[in-house]
Amino acid sequence: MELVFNIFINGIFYSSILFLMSAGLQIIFGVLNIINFGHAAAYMLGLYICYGIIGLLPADYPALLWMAPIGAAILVGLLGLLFERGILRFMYKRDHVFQILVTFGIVLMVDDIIRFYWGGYSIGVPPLIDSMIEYGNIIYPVYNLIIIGAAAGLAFALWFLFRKTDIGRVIRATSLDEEMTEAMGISVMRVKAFTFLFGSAIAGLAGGLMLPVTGGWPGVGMEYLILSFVVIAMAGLGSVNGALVTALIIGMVNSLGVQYFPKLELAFVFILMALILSIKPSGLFGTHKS
Amino acid sequence: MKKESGFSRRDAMKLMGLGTLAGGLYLTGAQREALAADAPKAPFKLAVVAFSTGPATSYGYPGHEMMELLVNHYNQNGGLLGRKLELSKDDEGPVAKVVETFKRLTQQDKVDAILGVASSGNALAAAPIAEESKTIFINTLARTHKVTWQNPDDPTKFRKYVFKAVNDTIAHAASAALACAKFFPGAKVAHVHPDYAYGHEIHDIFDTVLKKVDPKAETVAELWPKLFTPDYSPHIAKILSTKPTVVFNSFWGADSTRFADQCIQRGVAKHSKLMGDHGEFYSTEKRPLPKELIGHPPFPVEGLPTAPDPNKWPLNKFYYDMYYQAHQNATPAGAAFTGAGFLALVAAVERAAAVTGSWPSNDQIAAAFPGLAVAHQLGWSTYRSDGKASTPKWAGLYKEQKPYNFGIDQIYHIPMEEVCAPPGEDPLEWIKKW
Amino acid sequence: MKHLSGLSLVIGFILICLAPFVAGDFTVYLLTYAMLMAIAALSVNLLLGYTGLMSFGHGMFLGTGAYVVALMGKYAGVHSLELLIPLGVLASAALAAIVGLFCTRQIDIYFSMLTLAFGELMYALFAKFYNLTGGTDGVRVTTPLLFGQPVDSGMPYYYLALIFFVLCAAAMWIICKSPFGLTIQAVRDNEGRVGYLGLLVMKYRLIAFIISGAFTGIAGVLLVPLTGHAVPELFQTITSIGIVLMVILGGHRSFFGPVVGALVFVFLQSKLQPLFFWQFFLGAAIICLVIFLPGGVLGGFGLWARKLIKKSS
Repeated sequence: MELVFNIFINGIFYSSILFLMSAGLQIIFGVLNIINFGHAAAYMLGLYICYGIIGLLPADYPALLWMAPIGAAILVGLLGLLFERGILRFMYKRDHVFQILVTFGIVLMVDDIIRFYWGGYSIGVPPLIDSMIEYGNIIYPVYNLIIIGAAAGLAFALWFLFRKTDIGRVIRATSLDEEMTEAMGISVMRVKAFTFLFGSAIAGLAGGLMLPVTGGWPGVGMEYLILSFVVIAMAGLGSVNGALVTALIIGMVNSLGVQYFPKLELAFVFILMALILSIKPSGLFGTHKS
Repeated sequence: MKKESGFSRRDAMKLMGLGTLAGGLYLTGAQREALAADAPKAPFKLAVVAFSTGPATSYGYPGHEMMELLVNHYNQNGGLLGRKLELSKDDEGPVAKVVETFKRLTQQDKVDAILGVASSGNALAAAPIAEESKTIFINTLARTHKVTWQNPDDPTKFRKYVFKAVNDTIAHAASAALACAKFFPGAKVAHVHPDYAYGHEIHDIFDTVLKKVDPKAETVAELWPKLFTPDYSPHIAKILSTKPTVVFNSFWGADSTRFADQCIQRGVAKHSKLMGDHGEFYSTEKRPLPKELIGHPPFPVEGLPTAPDPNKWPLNKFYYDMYYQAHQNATPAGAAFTGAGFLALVAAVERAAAVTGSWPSNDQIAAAFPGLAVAHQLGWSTYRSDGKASTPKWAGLYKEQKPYNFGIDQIYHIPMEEVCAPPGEDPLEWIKKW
Repeated sequence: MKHLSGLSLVIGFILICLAPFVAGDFTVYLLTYAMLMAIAALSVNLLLGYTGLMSFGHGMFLGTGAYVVALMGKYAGVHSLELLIPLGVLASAALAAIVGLFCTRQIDIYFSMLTLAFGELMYALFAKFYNLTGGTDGVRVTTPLLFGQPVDSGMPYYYLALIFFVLCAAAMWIICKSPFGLTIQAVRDNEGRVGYLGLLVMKYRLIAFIISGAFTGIAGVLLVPLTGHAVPELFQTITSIGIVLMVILGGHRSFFGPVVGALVFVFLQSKLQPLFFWQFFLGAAIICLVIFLPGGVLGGFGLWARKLIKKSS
């Protein structure tokens, strides 16, 4: 019973991490049609800005700690906007190839800016809530439940935004047909800028929330971005629902696999990916035809 | 350095000079002055290659910090036998970059000696370049046992210019097994290692040795997470379900602290002892060792804060204080190892000078390494005919120790004579016969 | 214009031939490295510039070539290049055929992402089977033989690399100007129309992918005796992105762009690396080049030369 619970909750937790890391990537791809390597930079800035804010906060009021990930999300969103307006927007007419390279360049720069400001050593902080849920032999940290909650909340918020609000409809329209949307009197430029801000903010929030769990170091963003790439390739590029489903599959397979076939851990994800992509090359929820 | 410590800079320099005594030669004060007066005007060019970017920075970069302190210290005190030291810092990076850096340092900058290199693959790629150009290379951080061999498959032929300041993976893992058997006899061990060559070697050797020294010990779980796995929850679930007494891991950098943090949160640290480099990496993150880990064993290494015992070994306190004053931190292993490598170089220069009576050439310095004994903050290292140093390892249990992040209780000095394969033997084969 | 580019080609070639007599050992090393990377960059451009596919996984062919040398040397005692090069070509072409079956069904970013995933997969395999491959410690590679004679590092190896560079570049030039080369360019520009002509678009992309992989394999075979060590890092995305950067830097619209790009990239990186914050400057350089020099260094140079000629006439 204890084991079943552990396998289940660990799977869900890992899925939440994967979803938080890849959701922003999918949203940006949906509208801007680029693979944003800069997501790694946004994630890392979220991590370090959160770390910086925690260092500034007075230690006596633990409730204030929650300002850190939220502050990180806002700041990273704004920095994302700055990057989009300052650099990326000049690239929209160019090949995707060049757009990717620019976003890769910014990752290198942000890596070193972080190293300049915070040093090259790894960082880590204790969980923002230190309490545990104890039930029989089961001990589970409340903070992990909050991350699961945040991922679920994000999934719901995105569903609501895209399906139930005007902003969401405009974003979806833009991703389907830019010219037509422009003709309807909507500024596609603004939609793109907003989407980039939003996607970056999600990456920043993910980084901020993950700081107490994973810690970080300059370069961690790229390391985890490869994980997200695997998720979105399996999900189908641009599909947020796909990312959710894929994250759940990978999370559960990983949790079960480590328990029963620990020696093969490295191979799980690749086997899954090979399986899915050979059946459906465009990914589970991919609409693209070759 | 504080006056009341009763151990001054001068004492430290003296004790380091004594290093050459064990080699059978000793420079008198008058000889030193004569050598210094005659020293070449050109500075002695020293290069340090250590990770400054990426996840291994926590292991590599302290080496840069330590060398800055040591080189300043020497230059303020008249240099190395009268010669100024000129230090250059390079990032390590992937193999292609290390090869390029070594070519540049040896062929273009023509440095006299290179210290550092943390990745075994990088060290193995760099060693032939140093050897070919007759540049002294002291590998201070990587654990590969092959770096001083001319050919990675032949343990009987050694490089002349490549030396190794710390013990190899085999001695490293064997020490951990000895410490495990001593502190937790009959242990049920859960192995958690990153899934790459180093993790597997540590696991295999630890297992072999532990079976021999403690037949009652058993392995209850083996887990192989990928390097930089963000979340260890599934592994922790497996650990919890197998109820081990010791959770032995070979993580480094953020992986090490992340794994320990998650183990503490999930209650693993209450039931089992975590054995790993956790203290060191909490200290590079400038966090105190969590109180849940007090009484847990560190992965035995060449030196830890308060091991060797600073009351018996003043050099330990001298260097730990030197680093602490500059960085408000206990000296991380990477810094201590690089410092030890540098002091070996200094001792080799002095030994060669004592033989030749003049400032030695690089060939003469390299020739002075075999048989050299040198005192440093980790204890005594003796350089063997195969270019490897035998450096004592220290085990024990974590305790609180202000102002450092942690100290070591029940210090256990692991006998290197027993875990280092003799020169000319392949340690991997040798340990099987152990 | 034609004369100008022809002239600069000849001058450049003469300079490269004479370089070892004037440059120091380290510069010769960098030049050799750049030439071998130029072979890889040319093959990546066969896909990027001529077929319109950007590979983020060409490191895997570099790695395959490298490990053919390393493992044949370690287990079979084979050090002769006349044997290793065909083997390297075969191995990387075979890998390209398998990977290509999956990847060339995709275009655009989808193709890039899949190649990236396969590169990481190859890395994981080579790191995982460390008993065979040496894992992350890598495998040492000794001086190779050519017709029974050892090719020492330094000048002999430089000229060996130069010969192979010229041969590979010539072969790729012929391929690009052949009917096949024209067809893949047509695929790049208008896939649909080529499809209507009754040509199997995917087949052409797959063949281009295999050719490109095979040439990169040659670069891999020749690269490891130079660095002396084969490591699984070669398979990783960061290596692949490095090659793509060289192509873009030089200009992917011209045949010789990637060669110039490889030279500029290798020397730029070597100048930046001793700096403590080298990543920052490399990133800034990439962004500036992409924004301000859309056609790469060669494209920019061509533009400038054209303007100059216009002014003078």
